[in-house]
Amino acid sequence: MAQLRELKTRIKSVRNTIKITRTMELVATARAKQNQDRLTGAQPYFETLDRIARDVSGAGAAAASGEGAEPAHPFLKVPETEKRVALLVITANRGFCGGYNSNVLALAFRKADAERAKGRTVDLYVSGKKGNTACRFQKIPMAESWHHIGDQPKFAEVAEIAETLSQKFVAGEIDRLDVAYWRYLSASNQAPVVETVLPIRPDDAADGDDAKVATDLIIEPSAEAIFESVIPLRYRTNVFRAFLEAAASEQLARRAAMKAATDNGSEMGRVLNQRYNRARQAQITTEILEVMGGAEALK
Amino acid sequence: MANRMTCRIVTPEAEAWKGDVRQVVLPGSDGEVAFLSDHAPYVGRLGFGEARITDLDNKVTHFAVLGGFVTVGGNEVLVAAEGAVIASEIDLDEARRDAQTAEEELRKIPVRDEFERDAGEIKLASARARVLAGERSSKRNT
Repeated sequence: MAQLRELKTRIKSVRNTIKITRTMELVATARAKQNQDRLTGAQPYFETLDRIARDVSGAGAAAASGEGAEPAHPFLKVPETEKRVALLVITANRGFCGGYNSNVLALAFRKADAERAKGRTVDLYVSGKKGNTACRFQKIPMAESWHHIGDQPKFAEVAEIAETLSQKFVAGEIDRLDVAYWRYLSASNQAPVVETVLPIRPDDAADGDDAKVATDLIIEPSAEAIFESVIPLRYRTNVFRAFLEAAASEQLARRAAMKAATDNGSEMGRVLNQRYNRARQAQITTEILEVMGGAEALK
Repeated sequence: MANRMTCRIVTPEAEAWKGDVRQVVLPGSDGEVAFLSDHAPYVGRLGFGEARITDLDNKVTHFAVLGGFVTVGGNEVLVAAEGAVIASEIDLDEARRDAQTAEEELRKIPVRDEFERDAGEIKLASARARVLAGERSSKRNT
C-alpha cells in the first residue's frame, strides 16, 4: 500500500513537471521565431552597410594604408603589441536552456587561458546573469558585467556596451576586443564562437573588393568622411549582430532542452504508470488470495 | 517606367519601410537631399531629421530618421538608418517632452566632458527629429 501511494505522488509530480516544460517549450518556440525574424529583418541593414563600405572603400583603403600614416579611424589601428585583451561573453539571463550558457562560457574560459599562456592579460566582460553567476561561483574575476539585455536585444542597449568597450580600446587600455557568443548558422545549427571585433581589419571593412568605386558615383560629403563614420557603425552593428544571434540561439537551445525534458518526462510517466498498475494488480491478487485463504480455513 | 523607383528604409532592428515611390526627401548631413527616379548613383551620410516619401498616389509619408547612410542606384533608394520612426507612430507630446528633458540635461553636462556631451546631443537631435516629423505630418493631415 505504501509503495502504491509513493508511486502515485511521483506520477503526479512528473505530470506537473511535464506541464511546465511543455509550456516553456511552446514559449521558447514562439520567441525563437521572433528572434529569427529580427535577425532576418536586420540582414538588409547589414548588407546595405557592407555595400556602402565597399562603395567608399577606395578612399578608405587609401586613407588606411597610407604608409606610416595614422589609420583613418582609431578602430582600425592595430596595436604593435597585444598585451591586454578584452573578452566579451554573451550569456543568457535565464537558465533552462541546456548547454547554452555553459558551452559558451567554457569556450570563453578556454580562450582566456590560451591568451594567458601567451603572456597576455585577459579582461573578462560578461553580459547575462548566468555568466555572472558562473564566474562568481568559480571565483573568476570579471572586469564588468551587465544584465540589462533582455530576450530581444535593442540596438541602443547593445550600443551602450559597445561604447564602453570601444572607449577602452581607443584609450589604449585594451589592445583587442573579442566576443564569445552563440553563432546562429541556421535554424538547426548554432555553435559557440569567439570573434575579434576590434581592431577592425581594413580588409574586413573593405571586403577586399579592390576599390571598385564607380567613377560616376556622387559621394556626399566625401568618401573619406563616409568611410570614417561607417567604421564605428560597423563595429556597433557587429556587436549587435552577435547579441541578436545569441538571442536567437538561446531560444532555440531552450526549446530543444525543454522538448527533451518533456519527452523524458512522458517516458518516465509511462514507466511509472506501468509500475503503478502492476503494483495495484499485485495488491488485488494478494487480497483475493487472502480472502480465499480465510474462506478455506473456515471450512 | 518613368517617375517610379523603389525605396527601402532599413534599421538594425527591422526593415522600417519598403515600397514604390515618386520622390524621397532625406535629411542629408548638410541639409535636405531629394531623389527622383533615374537619379545618378549616390552615396551620402544622413543627419538627424525628417524624411518625406511621396508614393505613387502622391501620398506623403513622414519619418524621423536618426542618422545613417543612403545609397542610390538603379532606381532604388536604400536608406540604412540607425533608427527610423514612421510619423504615425510618433507620440508628439512625448517627443516634445523628450526634447525638453534632453535639452535640460545637455545644459548640465560640462563642456569638457566630450563623450557625455556627444551622447546628450544625439539624444536631443533624435528627439527633435521625432518632433519635426510628427509636427509636419500632423500639419499635412489637418
